[in-house]
Amino acid sequence: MTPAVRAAAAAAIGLAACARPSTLGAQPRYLGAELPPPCVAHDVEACLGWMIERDLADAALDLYDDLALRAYVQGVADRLARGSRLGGAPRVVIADHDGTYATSGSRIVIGRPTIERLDSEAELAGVIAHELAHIEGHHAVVSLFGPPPAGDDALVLRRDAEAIADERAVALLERAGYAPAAMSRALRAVLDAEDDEHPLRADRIARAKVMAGGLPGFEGRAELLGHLEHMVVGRDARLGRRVGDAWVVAALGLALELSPDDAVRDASDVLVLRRGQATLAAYAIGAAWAGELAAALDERSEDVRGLGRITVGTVAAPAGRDDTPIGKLARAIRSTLPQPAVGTRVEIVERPGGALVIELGGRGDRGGRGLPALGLRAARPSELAAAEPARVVIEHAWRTGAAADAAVCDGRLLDSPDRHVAAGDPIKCADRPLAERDRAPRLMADAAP
Amino acid sequence: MPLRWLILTLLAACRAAPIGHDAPAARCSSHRVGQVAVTGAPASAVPQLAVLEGTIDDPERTERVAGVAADGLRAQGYADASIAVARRPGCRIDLEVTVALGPRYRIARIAFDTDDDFPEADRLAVVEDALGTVNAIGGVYIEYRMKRALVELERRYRDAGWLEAELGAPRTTYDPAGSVVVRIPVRAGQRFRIGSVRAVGAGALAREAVLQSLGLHAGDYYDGPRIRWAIERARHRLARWVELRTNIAGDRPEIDLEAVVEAQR
Repeated sequence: MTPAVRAAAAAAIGLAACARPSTLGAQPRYLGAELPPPCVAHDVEACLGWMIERDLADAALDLYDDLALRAYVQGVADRLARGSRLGGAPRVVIADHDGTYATSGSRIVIGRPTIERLDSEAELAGVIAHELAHIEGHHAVVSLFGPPPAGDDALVLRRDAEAIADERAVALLERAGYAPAAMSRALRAVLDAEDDEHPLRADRIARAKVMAGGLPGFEGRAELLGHLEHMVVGRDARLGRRVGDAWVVAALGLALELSPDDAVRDASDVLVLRRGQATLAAYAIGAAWAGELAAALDERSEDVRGLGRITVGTVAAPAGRDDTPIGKLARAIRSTLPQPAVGTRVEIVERPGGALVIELGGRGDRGGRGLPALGLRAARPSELAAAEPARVVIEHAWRTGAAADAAVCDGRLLDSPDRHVAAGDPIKCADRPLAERDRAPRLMADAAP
Repeated sequence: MPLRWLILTLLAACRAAPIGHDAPAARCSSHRVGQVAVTGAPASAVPQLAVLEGTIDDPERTERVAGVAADGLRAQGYADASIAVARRPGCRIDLEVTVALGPRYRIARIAFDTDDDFPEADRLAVVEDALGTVNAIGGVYIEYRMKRALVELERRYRDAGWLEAELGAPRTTYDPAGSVVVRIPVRAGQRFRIGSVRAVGAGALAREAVLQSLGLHAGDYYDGPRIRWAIERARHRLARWVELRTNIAGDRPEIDLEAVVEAQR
């Protein structure tokens, strides 16, 4: 599943409803964890929020796990929430996909690539404030439980909600002491596409600018940049990158050898290749999700080798349709997780940091029932090093002028080249030149609040 | 002493202020919404309106938002809820929101008017929504979600062999004491069985293997999920493409199944 699809899927969850708890023992569980009290106490919103975060972390491997950065971003959300009508701040999590959205259960998911494009703490606050306003206004919940939105009326209401969130964000920035003008800059930085559900990009930016007026406030460029140092830039290739003649999944320490005869297509974190009569698709997933998938395989065989536990089998149809309320909720969320289709022959290689799923299509080399020789092995240190993603480094302008002319980080500049900087100002750079393929695919910010 | 006072005051200010600047006082503007005061219900009951504080004053939009907020209350069981919004110019445009909630209705009973064999618990489970808080006994009734669920329930009926099943529009009876009874008319019709199972294409051995793998038998009730899974299993066990054709018998409540087996490439 591509980051874009993951983002869209997670977004859909925020608006739609519903996950798959496995029933291990008497206590219902979801992705290996006991369901928290909200799931048992019929608090569907809070339960959904918990499931969505668990999916990001333990199923899709899509959480950007930097505790210090998360704490910083959470601090910004806490500060904004004090000026809102919310009793407490929503929990903020940083995802590895682009886009930002509020989910049910008072959670804000902000993409690392989105943070990468922002230039100050006030801009970060603007992005968060927009989502916070959606949570304050119960906009996602209205979609969940409100009347059926139909046709043009629904779009008008969606656009209303987006415009209100932008405007309320300016008000929240003002209350928190942030420079309200940062809102229009944040919108300019993170929006690059139009859709039916949002007001026009130019209108949103202009409206935020007019509302902000000339009111001063805290910008916090140095504060943001200070927290971005060492953050991964662009696509995190540790979930899959071609290195020489191998597909390396550094997060799992695995490499899949490619032969010159293979027809290879590597789409984001998924490797697809044709080998002889077989078609293979390989991608990494979380350990808990892998365990559930492996346990549910039909015609299953299991083997523990040097690489870890390897389970081979055919993806079975669900044994029975779980129509319990929690079962329905689980089913909808489960459908958004990366997984092979029913009937697919798969090999699941479980590793400490997650698992590699290899789907087999076409015919294998054992009468169509088995997997061909995969050439799967532990990744070499040199391959792991090659799969390391680029990271942010902060350098300092040594003369006043446009960032591009400040003669630092040539070819690695992450700031806008036109940005005016004074001598000594921090400038956001990558630690190495970024190839086009390593740039994060851009998504509409606010994919689904 | 004045210096000490000044230092203490500054220290206190530093502790109280958020990072950077103090929050400025709201600027007066005839284009922005000021306070949103809610009477008749807590402000948290109409969050869609409460969040307008500080936004641009747009009366038409406010009306639409009031409609959304009222729908939100109805979705919580306040079927008779209404909201009125008055605008009061001041430093900014203050909104006075008056909410009339009315009684909160809970579902006392969901009755399916039928005597067919479709499991009662499954029927209730299909219509129940949102962790049991919507369209469930003790929960709130939301009509559009019930209608959506009934489309799914009708599909389940057909998938379980009641090919002619029809579910009517739900009828509700509200009791001013706060309960609602929902009745759903069901015309199930006859339940179809598998008339025959045969395989065509490929060689005789392959056809026999497919039939064995399918494990479907004449006389069984038609069961969509079981049949689909049997086909998937046969495809993968035998590494052959198997397609299923269904033919509804014109003269009896039966469905004949024909597995088309791809010849080995």
